Formats: sequence, structure tokens, C-alpha cells
Amino acid sequence: MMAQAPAIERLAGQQPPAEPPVAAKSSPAAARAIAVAALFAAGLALPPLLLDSTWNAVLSLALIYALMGLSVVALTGFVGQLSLMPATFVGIGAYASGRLVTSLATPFWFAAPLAATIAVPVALVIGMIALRLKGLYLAIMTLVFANVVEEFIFTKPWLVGKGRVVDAPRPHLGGISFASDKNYYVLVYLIVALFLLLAYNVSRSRTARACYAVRDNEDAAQAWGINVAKYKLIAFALSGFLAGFAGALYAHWLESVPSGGQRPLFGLEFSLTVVFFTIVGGVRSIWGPVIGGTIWVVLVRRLLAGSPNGVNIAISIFGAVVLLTMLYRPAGLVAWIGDARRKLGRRGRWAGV
Amino acid sequence: MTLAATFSAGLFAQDLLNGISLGAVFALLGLGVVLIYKSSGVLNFAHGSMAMFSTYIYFEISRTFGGVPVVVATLMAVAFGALLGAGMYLAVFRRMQEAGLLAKVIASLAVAGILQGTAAFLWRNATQARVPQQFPEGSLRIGGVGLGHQEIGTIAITIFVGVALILILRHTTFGIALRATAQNRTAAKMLGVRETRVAATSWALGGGLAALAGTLVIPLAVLTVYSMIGYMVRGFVAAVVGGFVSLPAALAGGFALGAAQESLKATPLEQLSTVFAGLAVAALLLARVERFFALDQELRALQELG
Amino acid sequence: MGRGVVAFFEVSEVTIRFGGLVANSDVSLRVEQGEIVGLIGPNGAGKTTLFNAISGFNTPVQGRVLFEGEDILPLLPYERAARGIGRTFQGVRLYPSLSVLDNLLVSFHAHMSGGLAANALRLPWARGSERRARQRAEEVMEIIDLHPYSAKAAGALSFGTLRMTELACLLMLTPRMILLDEPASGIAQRETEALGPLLRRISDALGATILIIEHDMPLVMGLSDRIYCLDLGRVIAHGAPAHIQRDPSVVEAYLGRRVAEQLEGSGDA
Repeated sequence: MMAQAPAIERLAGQQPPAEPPVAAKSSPAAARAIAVAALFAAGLALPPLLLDSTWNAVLSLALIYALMGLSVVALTGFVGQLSLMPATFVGIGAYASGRLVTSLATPFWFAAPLAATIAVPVALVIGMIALRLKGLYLAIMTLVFANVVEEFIFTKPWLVGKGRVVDAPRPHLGGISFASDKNYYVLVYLIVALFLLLAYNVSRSRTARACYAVRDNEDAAQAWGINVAKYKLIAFALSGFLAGFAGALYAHWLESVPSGGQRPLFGLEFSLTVVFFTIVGGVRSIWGPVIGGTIWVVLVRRLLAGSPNGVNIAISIFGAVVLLTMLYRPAGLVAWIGDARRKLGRRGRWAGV
Repeated sequence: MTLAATFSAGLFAQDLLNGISLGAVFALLGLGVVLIYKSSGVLNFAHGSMAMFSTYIYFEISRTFGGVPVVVATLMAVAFGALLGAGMYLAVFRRMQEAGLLAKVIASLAVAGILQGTAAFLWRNATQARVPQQFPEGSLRIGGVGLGHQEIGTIAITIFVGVALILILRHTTFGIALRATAQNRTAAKMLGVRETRVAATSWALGGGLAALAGTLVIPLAVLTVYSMIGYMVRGFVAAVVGGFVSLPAALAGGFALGAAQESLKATPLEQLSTVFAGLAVAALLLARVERFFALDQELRALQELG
Repeated sequence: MGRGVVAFFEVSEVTIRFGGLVANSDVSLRVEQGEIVGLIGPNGAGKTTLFNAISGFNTPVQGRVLFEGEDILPLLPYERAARGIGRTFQGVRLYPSLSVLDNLLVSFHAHMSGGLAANALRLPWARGSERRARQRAEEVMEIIDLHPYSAKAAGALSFGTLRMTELACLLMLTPRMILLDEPASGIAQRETEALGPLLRRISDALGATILIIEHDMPLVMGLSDRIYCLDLGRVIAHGAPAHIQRDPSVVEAYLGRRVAEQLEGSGDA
């Protein structure tokens, strides 16, 4: 182990830190930037130009589901808190956004963020309870909540209105209408891309690292001055916001959101679906839900659309895939892709989870 | 409306009785969940699906083989449930002993999904099925309240099975081995406990209990692929009462949960009846019920003596 | 060291009890700035328990711990770390799924700025803080020769490398007092031999004071300026390494009375 004296002295403050050389924009970096931009442009323009309305609607839904999955990543992937009730927050965002637009004449551009914000205090309540519960018990509690809260909250007239449905019309901006499936796709794409960009920035930052520390070794993190409670609550709030926003986008995708009825819309089944496909895609990566959500939506909405039991069959297939994932590749599909650049470590096969 | 007017003793008593019979189902499911957790550390989110699938088997047997007595069909469904449980363990969870909590939870959800999808496909033409009761039609009425024979039978069977299980756990080799495994897996293995055998048996018992619960309660309702989910969730709450390791607590907890949940309907707080399970679980967990029953493998010793 | 001079670091008549078990009894020791002081003693002597008391993971029922004259016992563990007291553990407390680099950066967490929003939007102060932290991490990795492992996940490292990573995490905070709990345990001989000079270099360059628990006698004897020997929770000997090696009570503590007597009798003690 050869030490370099100048390095030690720099560390001891005996020499001013050398300014890191500003790298000239080297070719690989520039090439990457161009590739990313091209990919972004392709995703934005190609579906509306090349595909029909139905496909655009399906892809929009995939992106909306990806955002729901991102909320699971923020909570389970980042700080390791297992919550089985993401759909509850999606529902809050959905109904809130619809009501804000139709009953309170709020433009979508305010209603959606506002609806997402409404989900945050609820998420924080769950988060504060979570501070006192170990993983197992939080999972149970959120499972029970996902099942029972649906009947309780989403049947209340003050949230879902007096009728059986809450309308959520497609938005418009000045003269541009986003009512058509293609236009709505563009809108959803831009919004979700923005969230992914922000998530990407955060995932490589101090905030995320603190979350990972809490996830991996809570006691050590606490001992080193990381406010464990604060980061857990931040994760819950963020997760609630993302799910709520996804709910708003979902509501306006549906254009009318039913409530009550035999099978709850934002109940346990939906929650578990979201958790499922996020795990399959990779719960520790922000791209995991994109992969998982896209596969899920395309599978259910296109490939199995004709079959009456389409959802159940999809669940079955997904279940089998998830099982195989758990047994052989716990880090999720995203680990197959970009394996070389991933920093996911493996201590035995289960270190990924 | 005054408080007095909204509270009727008769209605309350009836709801209470209904609640107790519902609670029996919760208890059966809770007992199964506890057994499975104790033996393998798995929170079996597929429990409801197992119950549902076994009940569909009961449905299939009773509709296809009309001559088979109902009791036999029920026993066959229970046997199927036991095989299903053991099979699930041997095929999936036996390989996940070292896995973290998240992995086990997701795996059991995955199995649940497979069962749901398979059942939906196999019985796609029987999406709202009806199954026969094990007990004669009719009910027993005393005073202003009554309870169906099926409900009374369910309660009786639950108590019998619950007590039997508690005794088994206390006095048989299997029971002691299971308790040892739950307390300290490593030590139990070193003492010669055959973990796989204990776990497979526990899963078989759990599966059988789930099937029993389904076949007893579904006759009073309609069988769909989603029928058992709500019951399972409440079974979990019953299991929580015992910190996931105590059978007597799960048994009592199930009954108590059912009774409380239904009795609320006769009070001004009837709105809370649907969410009662949620409130109960939050209260129980926050009260650190598990502290009294914590498993060794869940506790981490923090003392480092130098 | 006369009385009246405030020691850089002092443990004063500390007694630690766990229920009925007395882990440390009336332990006193002093460390002067820049010194390397060794803490030896057979297993169960109370060395790690004492460290735990110093870093804040248990509370003495009696006594004081003074760092630069300040009683640190009322402070929480991370507050003591903020005062400049760094510590390693017998097990290693790192984050297994994070890379070595990320582990170092996490250690530096409290000294960085930028919250959720600042990082999401890559605001200037968040970016600058990140850049500076990464640079410091690079320098630390250079000292400890961890560059080859920079991107490897901590969970995949060999034990020796884990220990070095842990030391590196400590150095990120330029501690002024370092508590090392058996740094050589579990490391190959070859690496142990390089450990001594490395620690000496770190101490000299950073002006860091080191208190080290070790069982590796050549390492601790060669490295320390002074040594305290604990047995059954008490200090039984203290002084320069040469003196300690010949102290009969130290020999007795490790090897038992009969062996000590034999050695003494044969003139080897």
C-alpha cells in the first residue's frame, strides 16, 4: 500500500486542494449526450407519427404506470421500506385531480400537481407509522390498508363526488388541445421524462446516498449522523407525490374515473400489480418501472386485450416471471441490461433485495 | 337521531353473533398464516389464493361428481389444500431460506398471482360459482337472534381445530420442532430438527386450514377468484394479534376481530366497520404487540461485549 | 505529564455495567495529542466496551470521558464524531450494496450541502459540494490505495479491503482522534505488516491521535508510544511497550498465573 505524501498533506489542509481539471468535452461524453437527446426525441415523436391512436393510448398508459412504479422505487428501492399500498395514493391523485378540474374549475396544470400534493400528507402519516414498525409489520399494515381503505376513502362524496364517476377531461393549453390520444401521449411523455430526469439527478446525489445508507444499514447510518427518520419521511412524501401525480395523469387518461362498485379500482389488486411489475423491472433502478410498466401494459392491453380474463392471465404470467426473477435474478430485469455499468453489488444471490 | 335510537340491543346481538362466525373464518386463516410464518419466515400473501383455489376444487368436485357426499368433497378439498401448501413450499420457498423479507413477500405474491390467473382461466365459465353447505340449511333461533347451522358449524370446527393445533404444538415432536425452529433456526438445525420436513408439514397444515376456511365460508356467499382476499387480509390481522407466532392469540384474535368488526354496524360508528381491520392492525402494530412474541431471528443483538 | 495539564483525551475512572455484569471498573487513561496508544488485554477484558462508551453506544454508570477538556458523555454518537472522534468497529459497518466510492461519500454526508430539490435540479451549490466531496474521496482512496476498488460494491470485497474502506471512510472526516478496534483482525499477514507504517503515516500527516485495540502484538508493540493493558475490566498495567512486555501481571492476564510464574522463575519475564 503505497501512500502518496502530497495526498495526505492535502487532506490535512496543508496544501490547497488542487482544482480538478475541467475536462474538455471529450468525444465519448459528447457522443453520449447526443445519443440521449436522439433517444428522447425518438420517444417523443415516433409514436404519434408512426403508430395509431390505440397504440399511443397504450404507450401513454405504460408511461403513467412507470410513474406509479417510480413511486415504489422511491420508497422500496431507495430506503427499503416495503409498502403495499401505492394504488391508494394513485387513487387520491386521480379523484382529486378530476374533482379539482370539474368541480372547482382548476386548470389541469394546477390540478395535477395539487392533487399530487394532496397525497403527500396521507403518505406522511403512513410514513410516521412506518418509523415505528419493522419491515414485516409495515408490509402487513400497508396490505391491510390497501384492502380496507379503498372502501372507506374512495366512497366518500367529498372526494369522489355525488355521482358514481368522477370526470377528468383531457387538458388544453391555450389553443392546443391534448384530448386526442396522440397529443395526450406527447404530454404524458414530457411529464414523465421530466420526472425521470429529476429522479436521475437525485439518484446520484447525496440525498439518494443517504437513503441507500438507511436502506442498507440503518444503525450505521444513524451513527454517522444521517437523520434516518428524516430520509424515510422524505421517501414517503416523494413516493406519495409521484403516485398522486401518476393518479392525476391516469384519471385524465381514463377521462372518467368510476368509484364504488364491486371491484375496487384502487385497491389491493392494483397496488400489488404496481409493486409486481416494478420488482420485475428492477426496484432499485429508476428505469425498472419503465421496463416493468411497459411490459405489463403492453401485455394486458394489447396482447391479452381480447381475452375476458386478460388481467388475470397477465397476472399469472407475471407471477411466474416474478418467481423466476426472485429465484435467479433478484435485482430485476434492469440488471440484465446495462449490467456492466450497474453498481448493484451482490452478497450471495440475495443482496439485491 | 339520538344515540339511543341508533343503538338497538337486538341488532347488536345479532351482529355480534354474525361477527363471531365471520371471526371463525379469520381465525382459521390466521392460524394457517402463523404456522407458515413460524416454520419458514414467509408472510404468505398467497394464503387467500390458496383458499380460493381449494374452494374451487371443492366446487368442481361437487358439481362434477354429484354423488359424492358434501363432507367427503370438503375433505378432499382440504387435502388438496394441504398438498398445495406443501408443494408451494417445496417448489419455491424451500430455496429462499436465506432470502430477505422483500424477496419472500414478492415470491408469495407471485405465487398468489399464478394461482389467481390459473383459477380464472380454469373456471372462466364459472366466474360466480356457488358451492354447497356442509351443514344442513336453516338456523337456530333463540330469542330475537339466530345463527345459521353453517355458521354454528364453522365456529365449532374452528374452535376444535384451533385447540387441536395448540395441543399439537405443545405436545408432539412436530410441534416442539416447529417451535424450536421458530425460536432459533440455527440452534434447532444443530439439534437435529429436519427443517424441510417441519416446514413442509406446516405449509401443508396451513394450506389445509386455508381450504377449510374457504369451503366453510363460501357456501354463504359467492365464489369468485377474488372472494378470499378480504378474509385473508383479516386473517393477517388475527395473526398480528399473536405477533405472528402465537396460535392461541391468532385463534382468539380472529374471533375478536370478527365480533368487533360486525358489532360496529349496530352502533353509530357503523362507518368504521369496513376499515376496522385497518384500524385494529395499526393499533396492534403500534402497540408493539410483537414485542411479546418476537422471534429470535427477527431480533438483532446489539450488545458487543469487548 | 503533571496534573493540571489538560490531556488531549482522557478517560477518568469510568465504570460500565450491564445489569449485574461489570464490564469496566474504574478505568482511567490519558492520551496526548499526536500519540498512538495501544489498548491490549485478553478477550472479555472490556476493551471494546470501553470504546463503545467513548463513541457513545453505551453509558458508564460512573466516570467521565474528556476530549480536549470537554466531557463528551452527554453527546450523541454522531455529535462526538462531529467533534473529531472517529472509530472503526470489530465487525465492519459499511453499506454492502454501495460502491466503495459511494461508501466514502456517504461518510461525508453531514459535511455536504444540497437537499432533495437542490440535487434534483442540480443547483450550483449542490453540484459544487458533490464535486468537492468526490475529490476528497479520490485523495483518500489514493492514500489507502483503494482506487482499484472504487466502483466495486462493498458487499463483494475481501475482508481486508473492507477494513481499508472503513478506514478510508473515517479519513474522509479528517478526525483528530481515531479509535481503531482490532484493525488487523481478519487481515492477511502481508497486509498487516503494511498496516503499521500506514497508521503511523496517517497519524504524522494528519496530526491524528490514535487509540488502538489490538491482539497482534508485533503490530501494537511496534506502533504504540504507550500501552494500557486491561484485564477483567480493569487497567492492570500501563507504560512503554518494552515495559509492558516484561510486566508480570500482563503475562499472567494472557497466559495465566502458573505460566507467568514459570516464566518468572526461569528468568524470561
